[in-house]
Amino acid sequence: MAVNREKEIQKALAFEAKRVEKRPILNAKNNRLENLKKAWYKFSRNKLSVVGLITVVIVILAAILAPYITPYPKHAGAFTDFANVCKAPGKEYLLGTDNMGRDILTRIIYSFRGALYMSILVLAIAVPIGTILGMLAGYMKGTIVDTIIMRITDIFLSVPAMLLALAVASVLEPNLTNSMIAVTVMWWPWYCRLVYGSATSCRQENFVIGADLMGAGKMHIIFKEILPNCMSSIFTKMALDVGWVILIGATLSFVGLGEQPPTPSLGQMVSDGSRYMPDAWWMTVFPSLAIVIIILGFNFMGDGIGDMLSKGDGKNG
Amino acid sequence: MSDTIMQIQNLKQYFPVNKKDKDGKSLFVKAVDDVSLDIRQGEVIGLVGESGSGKSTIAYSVVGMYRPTDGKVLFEGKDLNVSKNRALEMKKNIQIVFQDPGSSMNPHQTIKEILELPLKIHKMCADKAERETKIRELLEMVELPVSYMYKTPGAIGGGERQMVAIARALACEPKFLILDEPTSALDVSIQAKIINMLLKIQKEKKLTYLFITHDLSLMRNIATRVAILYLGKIAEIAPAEEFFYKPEHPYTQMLISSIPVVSEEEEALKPQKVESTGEIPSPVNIPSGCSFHLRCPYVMDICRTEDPVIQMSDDSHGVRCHLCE
Amino acid sequence: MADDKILEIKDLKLWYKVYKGYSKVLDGVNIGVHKGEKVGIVGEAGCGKTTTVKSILNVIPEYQYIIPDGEIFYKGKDILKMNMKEINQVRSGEISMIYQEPANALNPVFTIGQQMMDVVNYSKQGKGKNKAEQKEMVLQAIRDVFIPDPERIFDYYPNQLSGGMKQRICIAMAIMTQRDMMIADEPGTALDVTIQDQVHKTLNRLVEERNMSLIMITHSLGVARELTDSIHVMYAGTVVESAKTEDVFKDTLHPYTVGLMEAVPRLGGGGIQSGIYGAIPDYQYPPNGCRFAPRCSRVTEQCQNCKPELKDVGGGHKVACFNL
Repeated sequence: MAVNREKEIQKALAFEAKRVEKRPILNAKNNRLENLKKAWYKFSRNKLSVVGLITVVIVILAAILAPYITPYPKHAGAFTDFANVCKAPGKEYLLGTDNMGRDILTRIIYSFRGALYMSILVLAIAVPIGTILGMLAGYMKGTIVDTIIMRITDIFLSVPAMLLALAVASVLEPNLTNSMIAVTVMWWPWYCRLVYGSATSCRQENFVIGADLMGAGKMHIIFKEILPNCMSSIFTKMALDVGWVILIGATLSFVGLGEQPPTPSLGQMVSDGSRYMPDAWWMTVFPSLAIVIIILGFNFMGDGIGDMLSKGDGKNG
Repeated sequence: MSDTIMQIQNLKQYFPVNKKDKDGKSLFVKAVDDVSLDIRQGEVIGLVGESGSGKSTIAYSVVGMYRPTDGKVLFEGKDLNVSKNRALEMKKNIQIVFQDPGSSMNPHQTIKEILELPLKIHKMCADKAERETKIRELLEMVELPVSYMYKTPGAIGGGERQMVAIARALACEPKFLILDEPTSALDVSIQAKIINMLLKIQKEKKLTYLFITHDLSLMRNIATRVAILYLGKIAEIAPAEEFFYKPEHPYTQMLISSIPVVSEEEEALKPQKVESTGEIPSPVNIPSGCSFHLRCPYVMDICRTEDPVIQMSDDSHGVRCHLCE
Repeated sequence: MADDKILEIKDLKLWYKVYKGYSKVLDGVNIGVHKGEKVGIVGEAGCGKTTTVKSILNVIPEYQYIIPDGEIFYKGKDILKMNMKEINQVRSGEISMIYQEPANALNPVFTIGQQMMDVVNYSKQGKGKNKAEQKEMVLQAIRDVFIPDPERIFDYYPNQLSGGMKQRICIAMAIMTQRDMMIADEPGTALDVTIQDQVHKTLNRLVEERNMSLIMITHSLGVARELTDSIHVMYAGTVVESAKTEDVFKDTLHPYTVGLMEAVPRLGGGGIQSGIYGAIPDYQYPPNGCRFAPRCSRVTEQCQNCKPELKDVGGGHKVACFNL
């Protein structure tokens, strides 16, 4: 311990001896650059966040470039090759093949597309709805608007989310769009609650009161004063939620209510493979691993974004 | 008087609390209880009191954050609270600077955006270029470098933040400025700078200040008239100088004798007899009679039962105490 | 003379680790406290007062800072070289501390009595005594700080007490076991003037009765004048002037102290002086020479390049300035 302290002091002294004072000239552009640098410093202090970011970038790139990087792009669709059914992982098929003789690696990478598409769309619909309703209710706390919005939110929150999604997806025709609608319906109330909380506390801050006393309009107060202060919690939750939406999507398609064959989806691959366990273990294990990796990746990145947007200027540790 | 800019007439501000007394009547916090005050054009009037005395509540009622429970606030002869929403013109004329510069500015905006807001709302400038010139002028007025425009409130010091808050309040050229403990969160050396700047601006622009503070010695140096509040009522009101040489209300004497001072001359100014005792009671449960009688060293029988009314000993010096009747 | 110093801080330097480098907050602090002496550390926000006393009790998380240089002797032993057990002994039996915000210093979910009993339990005097004796110690301490009806207060939760009462309880906790030194970090700042006056008087009387040493941190020269025997004026992590209290007020020498003194609003009126131009330096890029140089009216070339030492100018009045 003491030796470590000694080393640290030596390092600090050396750093100070070499340090040249270089303060950037202050203007709009430099200021933005400095802020970005500081944000990256805060994000990258936790190594896991960086790992998460790299994972996420790889997943997104793989999904976009799927036709060019996968070994057998054809296998993503309705394709059968009875000569190569259920082949174990090897040189030709890195992660083995499934019961139709299709390459599992190819299908996993293609299924990223559906998963990402779904989570982005779900969040793109649920977040604005939840945010706007939450801000409105928070700003008008104590009025009838607040009561109506928040009680509706409570009703949605009191129904088990999975059950609701299953119900919607089974009433409607099972496909990707409908499972997205189902997930969206159960997702927005969480954002509404989250934003409601930040907005009510923000409303009592002096800068909101000040803007009001100065004569600023309601729109200005809601969107220019309150919204930016809710952003950090919204972004953090969004980054974490991408993983959860993918997991819900996988669950829905596991029970057959998601993406329909032959389009590959992770949940369905796991479900199909489970029938061939334990002989063709690769059919289940690799898609499951893919789900785990994606979710961990988004969660780690979400934590990093949380650190990055947290208050404080990077001092103290 | 023709030069009266603001009249506070029998202002009462009660807030309900979720409690009931023995008879089932709901209880109120009587934050401000029957306060009347005339403020003349161009004066700096000081409101002094301990926490819970209602000094900030008066400010918030005047600026329009609350609707008064009873009483009126007249600005240039016009009632401020006629309709539910105050006219934009009135909002422009009465501005406030808050105590804590940290929370009075949105941490996600740059100084430029913060200063732009009042200019936009009150349509002070024709276009973007004119606004930018105006912002530069404002920053120069409060002696801050123009490059601060691009900083966020989090990146500058507390004193500088308060300067920006003052600049923002002055941006729409108000006639009446309320300063709610603008320097109590700051160091003395910065306080001195801000106070001097405020006084300079006040002279230049012929503004009227309502200055709220708990610091009596600061008040001595800036206010023309001082009112002492105790539990929502004015205990004593007098011109600043007279106040310190001839304090009459026992509470004023107690306050002055509690101030830590830095020189012998000041020590001599303190009334020696009054030792501070007790604490300010809760405003929900105000003592009967004179609200100060629990702490008063000269308490008499009449004080326990009867609330004194304010007596003007001469034109400008008023005391609310049975001793001075 | 030098032997009876109970605490001596010698040339203490402390750097916080921050984004892109180190924030050199303390830059050679020298403070000595005699037995039974009341010492004031006066300075503005951010000048390192609180960091100094935190380093005495060693309460800053270790990963946040380094101490490149300096020693803190408490009764002849260097606190910085102590192991955890010895430090805990100092904390629990030798030095007590009062904080600025009484609301945060007491745990809201335990009664006053429970919290005070804990202090007794872990102290040298209270160990081994039975419950009744311990309780008597607590009640006596509450009586000592002039709170009426200690039996009732014993069962109160902190939120049932006013700010002044809470601060008195904190003082009671700090004095109830025999300690040699008390550190008070702006004990009256969060309170109203009349309450502050009462709290300061109580504190002063108790410290004198028990012959404790007191380190009083404050930003107010007036408070320091009323409560202390000697004053150390700090600016930007250095002690710029230290002397007997009356000497500081009668014969103010350092330009910073002069500026600070002038900025205090006087009861007699006459307006306020201009204050001190500028702000405290960025600790990550402090000035090379005297840290006050950028704001100083008497600045010369020497000030910008060399750091002035704290020198005795006669009668124990020490000043760190080249141009007196």
